[in-house]
Amino acid sequence: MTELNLSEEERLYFSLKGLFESYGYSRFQMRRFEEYSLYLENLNFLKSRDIITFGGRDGRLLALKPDVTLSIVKNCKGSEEKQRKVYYRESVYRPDRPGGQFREISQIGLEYIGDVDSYAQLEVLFLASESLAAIGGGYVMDVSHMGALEGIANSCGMDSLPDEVFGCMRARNLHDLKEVCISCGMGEDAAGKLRTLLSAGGSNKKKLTVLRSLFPESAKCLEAADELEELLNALGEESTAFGIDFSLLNDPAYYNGVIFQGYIEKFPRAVLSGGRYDNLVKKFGAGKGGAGFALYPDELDFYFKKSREYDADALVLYPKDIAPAEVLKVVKKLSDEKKRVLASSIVPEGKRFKTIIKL
Amino acid sequence: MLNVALPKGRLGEKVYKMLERAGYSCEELMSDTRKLVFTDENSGVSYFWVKPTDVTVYVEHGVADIGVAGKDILAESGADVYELLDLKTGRCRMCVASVNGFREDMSRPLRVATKFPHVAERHFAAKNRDIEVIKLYGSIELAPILGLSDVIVDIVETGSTLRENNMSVIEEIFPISARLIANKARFKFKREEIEACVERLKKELPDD
Repeated sequence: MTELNLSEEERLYFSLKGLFESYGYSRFQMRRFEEYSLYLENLNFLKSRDIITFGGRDGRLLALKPDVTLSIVKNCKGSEEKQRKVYYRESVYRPDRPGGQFREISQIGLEYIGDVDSYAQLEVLFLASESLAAIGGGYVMDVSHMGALEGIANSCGMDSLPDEVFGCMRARNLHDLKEVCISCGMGEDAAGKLRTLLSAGGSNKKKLTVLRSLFPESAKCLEAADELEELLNALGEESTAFGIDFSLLNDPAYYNGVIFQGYIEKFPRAVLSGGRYDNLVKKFGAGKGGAGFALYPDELDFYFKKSREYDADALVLYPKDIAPAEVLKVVKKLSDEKKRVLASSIVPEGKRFKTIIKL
Repeated sequence: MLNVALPKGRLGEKVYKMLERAGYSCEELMSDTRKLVFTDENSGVSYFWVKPTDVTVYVEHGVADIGVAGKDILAESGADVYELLDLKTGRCRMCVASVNGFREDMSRPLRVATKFPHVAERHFAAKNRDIEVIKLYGSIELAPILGLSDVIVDIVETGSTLRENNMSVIEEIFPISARLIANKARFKFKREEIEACVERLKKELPDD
């Protein structure tokens, strides 16, 4: 047999499958569709509100799944297990960008549901980092904490920061931040603090010092800073690729603790995202908490541009009147020598071969 | 090396002058040539001119590390990019406008002609107002004059085109100016270079 011609996505999956299984995660497989109501009730958890729906035979409205985590958490509902460790390789169906066309998007991910203690949290973050490393090349992991954002909102007398403020923070739009904060009733002082927090550069330690000094009265901010610090210390050398970035935000209705997003050098978008989603797990009665991440390997092949120089190592060109067994004998011999062979009575158009063997 | 997407036209040329003063010059860029990409090794920058609406596309896909786009284009495209600096140039306003004396009929959806359907939909949805969007590609002001729409959502610079056509602004949606945008992933790997560019550009901004 010749060496398998794997795509980047396949190569990555097999490498991650080995990694995840060695840390005690087992494969979770699911149907391609779910009841639409699952998504309707959790629209804010989804990356896009556009969902492909269709009617079931009994009149139920079904949907091609736009997300995997919801299905896994729903499956864990009422589970007695203290910890559920699963990984998956699934397709989700949603627009590739706001207002874009529907696409089948492949996703490889991991979920830890149940009693997510400090170790579990660390393990998930570590495996996310290892997953990025498995893609190859340089990588960066942005990390933030939803508790810090909740603390900041509470210090402004709000349950959570308004969407408009989230929008400015996500875009690192510091020039409009003040005006937006004031129009949302947050006050100039809070706007100034947010601006200082977002523009803080330097080491992770320095950024945590800025958070602590800006919101010293907020227990949530201080706890978030402590948790981030402990995690980064526990990651040891791995933490060099981690950068605290408070412009990274998720929906507070679902996410509560550490959140993260991974970037690799050759890819223009985040290729991995994940975090702590105790709020979602509790909503489903599926346990105390959850943490996980998903990797989007769809376009890796395009950006890694690893195309083969030849379509096959050898073209076996045979005359039409030759005995088929004779052709098979030659092809098998080459194949046994681990060569990729294409046998044909004509030279295929537009294809390139290392050698052409005429019979 | 920073890859920069500039919008073709007056705004792009104006911003290039700012970049040039900030130390990112590329002599060839303003010359009359058919070249598409202009690189200046000394300044550490590579420029390319693209259609203004395409700047966000080039930046979002990481082909350009940074680019210059109007707030109108950013708002319409919903591009997932960092918006690092208000360049305080190319200023105008996104407005709802109609013919003078227009009275809104609340018993039916409002017909809105625009080049910016997402902006229009978001604006009126926030007010719970049902609208019918008519997407046009130019001469938007014609629509309410000829009865194609009730109002328009469009960019207003001085308001002279509106005045000449017996029209006026009903409501301002948001102010517009050129913004320096950056690809989120490229920002992670070229942060120092990009932030240095932002700092140098800040010194070249026009006064408020």
